[in-house]
Amino acid sequence: MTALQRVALWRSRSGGLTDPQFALAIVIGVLLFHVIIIIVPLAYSFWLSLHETNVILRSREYVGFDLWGEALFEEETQSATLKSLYFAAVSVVLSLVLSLGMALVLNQEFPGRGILRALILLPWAVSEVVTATMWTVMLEPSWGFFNGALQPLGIVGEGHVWLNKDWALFWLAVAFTWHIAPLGTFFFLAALQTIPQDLYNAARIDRAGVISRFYHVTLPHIRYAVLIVLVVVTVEAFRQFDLVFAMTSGGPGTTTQILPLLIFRYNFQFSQYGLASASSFILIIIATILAVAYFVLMTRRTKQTRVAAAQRRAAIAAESS
Amino acid sequence: MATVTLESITKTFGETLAVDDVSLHIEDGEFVVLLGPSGCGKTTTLNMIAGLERPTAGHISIGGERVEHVPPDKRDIAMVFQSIALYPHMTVYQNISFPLRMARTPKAEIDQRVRAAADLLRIGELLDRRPHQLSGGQRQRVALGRSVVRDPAVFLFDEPLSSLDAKLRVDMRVEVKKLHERLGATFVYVTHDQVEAMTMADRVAVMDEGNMLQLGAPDDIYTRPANLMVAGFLGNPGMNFLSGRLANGGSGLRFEGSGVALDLPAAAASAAGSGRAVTLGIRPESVEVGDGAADGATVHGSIFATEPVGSDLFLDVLFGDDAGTSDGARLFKVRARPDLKVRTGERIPLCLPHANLYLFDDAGHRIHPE
Repeated sequence: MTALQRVALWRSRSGGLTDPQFALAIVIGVLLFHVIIIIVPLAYSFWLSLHETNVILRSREYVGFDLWGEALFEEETQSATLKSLYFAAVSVVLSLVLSLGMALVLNQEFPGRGILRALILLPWAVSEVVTATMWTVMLEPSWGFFNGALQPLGIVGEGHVWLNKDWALFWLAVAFTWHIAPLGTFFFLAALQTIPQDLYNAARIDRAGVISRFYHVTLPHIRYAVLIVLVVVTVEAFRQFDLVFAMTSGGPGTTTQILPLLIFRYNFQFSQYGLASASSFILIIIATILAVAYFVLMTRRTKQTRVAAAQRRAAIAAESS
Repeated sequence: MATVTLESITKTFGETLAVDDVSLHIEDGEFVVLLGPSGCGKTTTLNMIAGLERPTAGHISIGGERVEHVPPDKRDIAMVFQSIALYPHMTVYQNISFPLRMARTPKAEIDQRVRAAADLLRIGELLDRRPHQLSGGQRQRVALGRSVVRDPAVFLFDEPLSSLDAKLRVDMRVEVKKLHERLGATFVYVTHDQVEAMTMADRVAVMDEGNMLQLGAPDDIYTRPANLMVAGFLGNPGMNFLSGRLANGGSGLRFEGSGVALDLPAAAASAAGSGRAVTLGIRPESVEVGDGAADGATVHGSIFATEPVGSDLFLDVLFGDDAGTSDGARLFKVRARPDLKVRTGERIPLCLPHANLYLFDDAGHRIHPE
């Protein structure tokens, strides 16, 4: 078969399209899907955020960016944003430590490792609502597991209320960490498995101790996994609704009313669709800033790699000449 | 500078016996190569010298001191790995200086020693690069630099050249040999490449399935292989083997089998008796085309294929019935002059000089020459 015949055969297989046409056909399909499920609702939401809606009068009035201003400077929204930041920060720190710790343990060889690796993913597979129910039961003051275990030891007083106004948000972050950390563990485990054993052996012979080996061999290899886990957990924490709603519904009072909960209340309890949409955009902007930061870090890396690859090719050329 | 002594070391991984009762004494400043096919236990042996693995039984001494329970960092050794194992995020300078930094050597001394090592290996202009910006040969030099800079008593090499291309491997071979001459340290070098072993080693230890089959100077193990395995492993192409039996013939002992029958040298008679099952061995370069030499046995075979490689012409010769009906029929490699004119299928006479014939008994041990 000549090259031309092969090309002809391949073309007939792809429905007579050229490469660019075929690529375009695929991209348009995906694009259309995205427009319908993402762009259209987003645009509608944006349009809503520019209008003050009154459900009783059944009126809708164009108010420009007034509601954005309200969302940004209203004390209630600001306080919810701060709570979201606190929730995200605690979740990120806890899950980073927990994920990495579990990944390091699961990367060791021991009997039953395979089963444990599968089991550890379970909390992530369990839905947020179930997680919330489980933690609510465990933290229950009169018959929960925490008080049952800690009261006899004298660590907490009788009927200690864990979800009190000072600590409820923290315990929500702990419950969320329990749910999300396994995902991070798997990112870290994947990264850890790419580290060649020879590097650890070389480091041992080069007189590096356990801490030096972690710092000089492990950490450089997993720093992109760290970045991914940071971004994923931060974004997940910012948009977390189910778990908080199921566990405290924002209470006691409004002490755990993080931004997604407030948006929910604006929208479904007060029917302030415009304000809810405007507040949503604050969330989107925070998430976008994080995503952009992530992309900037990744592209900077790609550029470095390209320069390095060019230098390496030059070195090989010089060597073989 | 130090000697390395292994006394009956054994290593098992679960049920698997990786190294079986190996003893070896390496002199101070000696270059010893552990040679064998993959899975023969040579790397495990090296790892035990390094301290990366602990022997199940036996003793290891470096410089006269027992080290089985001494961790790798306190053994005064350096190691170059098959995967090269440079720290990818560090520059060449940081890579080479790493063992010194870990030992908290003063900065000025580190700088002076790193530059000396870099000069020695001609990588002075690469000190600011990172490993992924280097070619394979350059990386290998950096890995050597990282071991040289420590000035260790013993250098350990685990197939360091196997990831390089053929041409570069030849260059680096010379370089490692020169390094050994300059440093005068003890080198233990693991490879499956018999050419590396032959060209670099003072002594070669041939290993297979966890056992040390033979230990000796390269020339010695080449000319006097202890058994079939060693004989077959060294040389390229490998030694020809014909299996058959010894029989009494007109002028003395004869070999019969594999489609040939030939007279054996008188000396072989003392080593083996008639009727014994043996393997006859001869290297491709020892066989002469023609029926000339007086002191040799002449056999006839037909040419199955020719392989010209420029400097030589290799002939694949078939003995016996070339249709393959005779069960002894097999290929026999012969190195001939490149200008020899032969056709496929042609019957040619071959002379097997008596001086270059080997006989192995049915357990594989060499019985001739003694």
